[in-house]
Amino acid sequence: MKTAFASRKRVIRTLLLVLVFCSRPVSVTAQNGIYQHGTVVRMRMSECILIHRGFIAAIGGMPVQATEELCPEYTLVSDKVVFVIVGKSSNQMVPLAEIIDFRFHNNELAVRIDDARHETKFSIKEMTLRSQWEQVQKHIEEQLSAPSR
Amino acid sequence: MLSPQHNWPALAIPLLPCILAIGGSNDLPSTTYSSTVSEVRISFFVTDEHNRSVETVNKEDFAVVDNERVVRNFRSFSRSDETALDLVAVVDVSESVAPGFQSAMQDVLQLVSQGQPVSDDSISVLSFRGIHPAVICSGNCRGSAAESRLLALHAAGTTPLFDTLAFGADFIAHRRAAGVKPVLILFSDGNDTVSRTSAGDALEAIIASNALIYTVDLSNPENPSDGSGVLRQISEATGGRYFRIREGAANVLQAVIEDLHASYVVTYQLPNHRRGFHSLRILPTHNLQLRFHCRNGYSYENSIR
Repeated sequence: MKTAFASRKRVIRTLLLVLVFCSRPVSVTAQNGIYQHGTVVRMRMSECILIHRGFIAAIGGMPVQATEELCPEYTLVSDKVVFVIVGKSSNQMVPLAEIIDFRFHNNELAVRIDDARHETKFSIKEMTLRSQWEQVQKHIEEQLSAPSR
Repeated sequence: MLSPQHNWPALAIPLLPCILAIGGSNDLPSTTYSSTVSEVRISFFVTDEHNRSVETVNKEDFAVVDNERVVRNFRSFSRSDETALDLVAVVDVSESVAPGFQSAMQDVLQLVSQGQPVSDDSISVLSFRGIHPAVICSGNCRGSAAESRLLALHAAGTTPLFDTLAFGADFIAHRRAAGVKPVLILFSDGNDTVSRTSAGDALEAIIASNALIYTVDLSNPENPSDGSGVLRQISEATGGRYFRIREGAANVLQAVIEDLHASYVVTYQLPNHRRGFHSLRILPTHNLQLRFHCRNGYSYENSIR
């Protein structure tokens, strides 16, 4: 009786180990699969207003609370959509690699820092269709390159 | 900021109409000459999370943010060819630094007397108080006469900090030599009280002179003032570093030398021809612990300054 119980326990332990071993690559693959890819094309420091007033305040017409702190703001171009994202503090940075991985998470954009397993979350300030954004950029370029009068 | 190969046409072509006009010939056709300087050149060095110089950097390790645009496509990337220093110690001798004045003067004397790698004719000392900066010694600071002049200084009067920086920019411009990096080490509490030059104009002059400023804060850390912030901004704007007086002149000079030896130059095509000040930052592409030190911008009119 005791031997049968020990044997069953060993089988369960082995099965658990196999399950853990097999499920790990699947979860990593799943994690990789949820990421979209994009390129940061612009970066500037702007007031951290958006973060502090929040969405409700933004649509409710509450007075804007400007802070002296400046937060990094990035223009992130993906396949179809262009995002303007803002950090929550002055030192929340995105590495400016050619391609970065990101995903949506609770109305925010979670950016994967290089190949590391940790993410950093940014507020989304604007979202534009890439085709529209490119048209606007082209127009700005034409304005800038036009000879001044 | 101009590459050598772009220097002569950038200067010569705009001058050409003037030269022709001086010639006074009325039958010359009315021709407009214009030139476009299209290359930006930035010198920089890198420090790690412990504020130590990083010796080896690759062009894949960073991106330049020029007027908000991210630039990753560089024309060239190499070690800086500036291997010698032209060192100017700029010493605040106004009344506001009186409490730490003796300590500051010991540091300045130590800085001046240190031998290698700064040659005798490459170190100068300026002082400022009242309404004018003064040249204590220019390229001959290791003699007894210069030492006597330094020891005779005492703290008194107002603080013309920004006037002195503008003066320092002009002083350095007159000493410019190929392969030599101009560096100002500013000993001050950062509290200007009397300058006619604005902070912005002083910084613009220094940035245009291509000099780095290393600031040494003489204020009491237990009594923080706005001056410390001013000193940080000055050093960061030029691509230099900020120190406190307790860190000692030897460490400051050591940092200057290490930074010089670990300096790189990157060039890239001007991202847009918008006239005025172009802000600059260099940011890491992978390792967020790295800090890239470079001047915070350049002026573009029809050429880069």
